Amino acid sequence: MNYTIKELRNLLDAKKLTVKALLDDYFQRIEEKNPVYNAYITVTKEQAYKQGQEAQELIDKGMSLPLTGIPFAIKDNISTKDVLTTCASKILYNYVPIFDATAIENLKKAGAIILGKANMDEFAMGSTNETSYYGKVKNPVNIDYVPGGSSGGSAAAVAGGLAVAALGSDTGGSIRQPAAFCGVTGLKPTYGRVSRYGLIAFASSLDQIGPIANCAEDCGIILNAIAGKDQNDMTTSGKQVEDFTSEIGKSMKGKVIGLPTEFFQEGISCEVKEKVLAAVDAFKEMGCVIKEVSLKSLKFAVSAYYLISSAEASSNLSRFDGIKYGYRSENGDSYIENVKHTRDEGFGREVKRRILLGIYGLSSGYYDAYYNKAVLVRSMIKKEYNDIFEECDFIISPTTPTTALKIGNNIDDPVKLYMADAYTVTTNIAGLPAITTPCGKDKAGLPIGLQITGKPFAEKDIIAICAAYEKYKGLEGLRQ
Amino acid sequence: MNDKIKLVQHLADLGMLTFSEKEMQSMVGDMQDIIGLIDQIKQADVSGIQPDIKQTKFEDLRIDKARQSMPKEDILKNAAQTENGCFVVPKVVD
Repeated sequence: MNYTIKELRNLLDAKKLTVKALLDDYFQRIEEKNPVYNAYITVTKEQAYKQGQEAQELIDKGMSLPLTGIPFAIKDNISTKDVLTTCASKILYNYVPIFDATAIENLKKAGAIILGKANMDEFAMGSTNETSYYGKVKNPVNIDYVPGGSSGGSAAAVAGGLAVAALGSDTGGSIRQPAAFCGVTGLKPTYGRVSRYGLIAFASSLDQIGPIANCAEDCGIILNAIAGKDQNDMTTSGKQVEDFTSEIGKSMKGKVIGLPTEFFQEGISCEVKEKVLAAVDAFKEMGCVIKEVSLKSLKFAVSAYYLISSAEASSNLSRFDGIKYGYRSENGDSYIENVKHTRDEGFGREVKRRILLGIYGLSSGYYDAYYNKAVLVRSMIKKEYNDIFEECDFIISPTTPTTALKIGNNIDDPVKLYMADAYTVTTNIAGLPAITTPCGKDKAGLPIGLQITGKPFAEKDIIAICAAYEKYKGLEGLRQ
Repeated sequence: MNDKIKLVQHLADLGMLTFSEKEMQSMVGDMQDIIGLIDQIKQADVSGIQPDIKQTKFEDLRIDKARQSMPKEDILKNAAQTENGCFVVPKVVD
């Protein structure tokens, strides 16, 4: 069920499988399983078969590209022309973009097929996928557990065999944490690597689109298609887009891996620690050199992240007023009152919390103590990472301190949920690339994620070392 | 109105949000807990640290050339109410 892109490429190009048969298979599974997993908000069957026909023609002419005919799920905060894009919010319940996000344009050019729009936490704010207006997503590994978030629908779709791969977005761990909880591979690229044009903004200095797939190589193949300079997003880098899979298969001997001690102290579950340290032993066997390092500012990372991201969100979300698009309340006689009612009725509780927090941190009298301080902590974290990368090629840590939570367990305790983001937010704060892949399971059978962080724009290196680990463990072994 | 409710009410006004009395009570509780968490940042020693002004790198700008914008009728399709090619908004001035 969980094919890799390369496996499907071979089957499609060798005419052992048609795109139509592949789509039939996926849509049948979506019909059966989506009512349980709730991974998709919208399924785009008609459009997918049309794209499938075009893909088949290219394959028949021997002109296929690496993603031609490959079925994808797309997180519902990424704009898709003529397809409902809700951000899992009531406020965008009827919003149909009139343009494609650049990442979507690039995926389509590469021949990929969109199966539908994946569920998520509302406006990507959350880490359990319980804040979606369209219902909770369930973890295909065990449906009593959350799939993580905010790209929980994307990760559940891949893990549950409802898509070969998916696009998610990562502001503070929203690709890596759900990928870890669902036992798949997820890559957050360097800030500026993939255009954010058409990604409905949460926190513009942290957001990044990236792939969720069945292995590191798949993530590289997808990144090859979506990365690059975009004139519609001036924060995209002009750096040459390389073949992100080109280092796969090379020896890892002599590579220096930093282990930040702070990630292995209080708050981490014993099983997560044990499995991640076992993975570290695997890297030693591959000839890597392990070095203990320190990221002292980790203890301030969650506060800095929530201050910066919420400040940016409070500004970004001010555009939702019910006038230009989306839900509009029937209450309120004046403009101001109508907008207030629209936002009150249209936004969920977590989104409102973040807007209030963002405004609080930016308001007069608090700005220096909060937002400004968070910006300085951001500099500190960046500097600490720079220092580590002076002597290390990679940093390895757990992706999350625990495995997936039971549905409903922590939804009313925002502070507890925010604290669990500590292991992923620092890479967004520093703008670094990071990848997660499974490194085992806990006693309950829930997957544990191993996170590999790299130097800025070193995606091909983290993909290579991640692929080396997947090969060492055996992909099948990892996912069993 | 106690100070905490007053503060959350002020933030809600700035954020163009409105809460019922019940919602306000629970939001005040949530905000108290969240502020307790972010207060940890006050302990960070940032002496000598400069803000990283290059955090968002604005690479080379796009060519300053007029481009076709999106068709007006397409843009208006998503609006709740339109008239004569314009968005309709509730009364702004009395």
